[in-house]
Amino acid sequence: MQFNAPLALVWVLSVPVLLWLWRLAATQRQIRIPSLIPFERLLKRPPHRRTHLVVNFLFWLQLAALLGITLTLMQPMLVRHGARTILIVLDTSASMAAKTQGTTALERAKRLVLGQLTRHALTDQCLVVTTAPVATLTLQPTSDVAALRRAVEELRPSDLGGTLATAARVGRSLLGHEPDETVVVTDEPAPSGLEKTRVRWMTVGESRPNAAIVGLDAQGPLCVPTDAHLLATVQNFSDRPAPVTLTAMQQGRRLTEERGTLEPGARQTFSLALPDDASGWIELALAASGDALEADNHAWVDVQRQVLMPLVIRSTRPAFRRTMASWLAACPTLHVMTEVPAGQGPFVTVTDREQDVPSSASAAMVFLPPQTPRPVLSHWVVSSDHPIGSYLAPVDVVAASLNLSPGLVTSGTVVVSGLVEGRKVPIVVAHEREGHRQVSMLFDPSRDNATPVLLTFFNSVKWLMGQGAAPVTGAPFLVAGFASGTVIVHRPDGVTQAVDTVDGTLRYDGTTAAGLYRVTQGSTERFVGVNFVDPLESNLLKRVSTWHQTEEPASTLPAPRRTTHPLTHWLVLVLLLLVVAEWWWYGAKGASPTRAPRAGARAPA
Amino acid sequence: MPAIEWLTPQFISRLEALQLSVKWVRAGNKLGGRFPINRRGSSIEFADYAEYAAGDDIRAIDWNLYARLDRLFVKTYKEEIALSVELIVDATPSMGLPSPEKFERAKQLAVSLGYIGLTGHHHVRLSWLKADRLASSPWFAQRGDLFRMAQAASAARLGGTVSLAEWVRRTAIALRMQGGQTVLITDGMVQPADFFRALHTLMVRNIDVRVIQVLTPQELHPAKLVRGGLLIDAETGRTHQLAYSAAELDRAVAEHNESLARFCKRHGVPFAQYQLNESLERFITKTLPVHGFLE
Repeated sequence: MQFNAPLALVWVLSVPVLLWLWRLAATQRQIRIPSLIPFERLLKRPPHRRTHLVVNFLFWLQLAALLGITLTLMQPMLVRHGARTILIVLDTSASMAAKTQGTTALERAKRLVLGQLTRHALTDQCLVVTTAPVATLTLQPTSDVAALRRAVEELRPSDLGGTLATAARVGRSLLGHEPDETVVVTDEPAPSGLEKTRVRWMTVGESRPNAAIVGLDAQGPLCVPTDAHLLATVQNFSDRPAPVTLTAMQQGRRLTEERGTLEPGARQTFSLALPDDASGWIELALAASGDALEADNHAWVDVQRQVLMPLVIRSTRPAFRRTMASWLAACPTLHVMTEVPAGQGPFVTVTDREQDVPSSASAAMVFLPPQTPRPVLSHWVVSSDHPIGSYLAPVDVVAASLNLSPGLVTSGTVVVSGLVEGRKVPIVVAHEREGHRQVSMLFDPSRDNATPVLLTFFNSVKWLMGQGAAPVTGAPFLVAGFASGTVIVHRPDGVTQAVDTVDGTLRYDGTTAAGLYRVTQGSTERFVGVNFVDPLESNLLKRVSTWHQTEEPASTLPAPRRTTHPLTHWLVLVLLLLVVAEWWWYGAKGASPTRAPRAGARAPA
Repeated sequence: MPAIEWLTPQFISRLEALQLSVKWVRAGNKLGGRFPINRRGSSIEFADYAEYAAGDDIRAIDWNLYARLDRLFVKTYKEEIALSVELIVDATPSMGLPSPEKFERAKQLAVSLGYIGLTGHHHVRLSWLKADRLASSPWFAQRGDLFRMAQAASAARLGGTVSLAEWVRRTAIALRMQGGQTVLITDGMVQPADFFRALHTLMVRNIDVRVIQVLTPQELHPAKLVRGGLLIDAETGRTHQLAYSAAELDRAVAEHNESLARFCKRHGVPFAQYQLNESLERFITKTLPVHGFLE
């Protein structure tokens, strides 16, 4: 045991004060007795033993309280040598929701973890870390098994992917040292080479067939208001053919349906033609026999049949304005303007000078043409991950007047880069922050009208108008159009949260569940669909390990550490009990009918 | 009306099964008695012959004796009297300490004994031993007087300090105490000599005396009560700085009580000690018959 404040030992000097008070009380005490007659014989001779300190149970209570207070003020800490630290990594990713005989893998994992908690000694410090999202169940390692049990029992699977190695690394960082043992409870297979480490692997998963929506495309026609359709990519993660049915629904109404049979491991894209009147958030549901995971069978996509955001072309160069007007004339549904609209509605600015982008613009396309236009033959390398790269060949040879000046665009995602004269330069850079999208194009449009240039332009217009894919779980979504203040987010799992907006734009980070999120503020109501698309999690047949060994070998681990347990709160409890005992002492003496009232017989309070 | 809840029907029925133990009756109330004494009376029990004197009822002349002896003799008959039971309750300040319950229990004990006397057709009177003017109740002679007696007891209050012997001497004269039975209920916080003189005063008046000492457990074992501090005598106001061992204190109390009991035993006075941790009913029904108070 050690003391954080040993100087508080001075309070022990209060004990002599207590003794003096009791002695004083004993000498000053006056006791009325029925008669001195029975003691006449004693009174005739002087007492051979005199004591001035007369104590009773109350004295010992007060003495114990004083010593307890002194001990509490010294802040004792119980030091335990050799207490073990256990790091438990619990997989809560979406794949843990897969059912086997009516029981999810997470339920089995929770039972294993509870068993581990019961088996460990009371002195062991446990820290439980979940993988999706990466979080700890308790703020710090604890031996409070009851609290850990409650936290584990309340766990629910999330619609997120998870990485065991990341969770373990976070856990070790929070511990500040290597744990004595790491217990991993997951549905992933045990990796090799664990024998030389202090990692104990517990697998709860089984190989199960599953069909999942792994891709979704709602790229409807930008220029034609009809013939909208959904492109959904479905993969069969099983070792036998799987008949699947894809159904598009809106508010319980079935819009269209597609059927097919997928070979083992095959991936197929289904095109679902939507009715003319279908617009807004549409739910896509996948039905497959023997499907083990439900989370990846649903997706939501926003289908906008009419482009509402106007395009404002701002430039001082007539050639630029002409080119833009001619390109945009191909889409009669677009509303092209030359001046900023007077209302507060969103609009997209297309300009060739960055300073001409008004602050009220929702999105902007900025062309940064070279000072001296000169066509350059270059190889365009396209990133297919971004919507702007849709329908573009991964690598194409294009002749365009590129702006090769270095350092023009410093932030954003390079969607198209070019290989010019042996060096790689950015050509199209997409940037998105706080709901504001901007595409920077480093070429001159008035002189270039090659097919990749036009595709890039229209893809950018489409992306700027917000026709991108729905957000996925784990990624934040932005919703604009609210007043400054608080909005209410109704999550698909039934939870309601109040979130503050920034300049009327909501940024919501807690997308741990897939589904349709409803955001309300007064009479304003917006919907946002969040999809779970993660082939790694959907593949229950062959789980890919997300573990890699990062801890030190067991032989190099430091010796068992000392753990300290503060005893102050226990001592406070004991002191409270002492106070209650004192109160009882007074109460019982006052209430007892057989006890005599003794004037002045009480000890000093 | 003072509270007499302790007089439950069950307790009263238990009392009715008991009666006072009477050793002798030499005097008493003339009305309604059942104890014959050798005094000319009007009962039917023959007592003796007496020589005829002028004024005697000529119907009492025994003519057979006159025929044989040629002298006039009249027949005399025994007088039947009721037993007078005096219940003297100590009401000095010591009876209020260490708990007022001591005096309350003493009053309840007196009322209970009084009712037992009433059920035996005796005459019962309560007297309060205290310094004020003589406090005595009227005679109670019927069972129906129980609640009047209980109310009289409830209304009694503690008084000032008085010498027991002096009080008994004055009271015996004032109340013309002669013969009968007297039960002294006290805590025994009196000088032994004073106690002896008081009992002697009663005994020489042909009174059948009994003593009941009422004590609390704390008084029997006063160690925790008076181990230190300044002791104040509740009756005399005397003070004393007392600091003795528990054994010494216990022994002193025991010796004092033993001296009282020894005197009673030597003079054939029934003596019983009532500790308040014993129930009143148990003390009356179990303890007092053993000590010769009741039968």
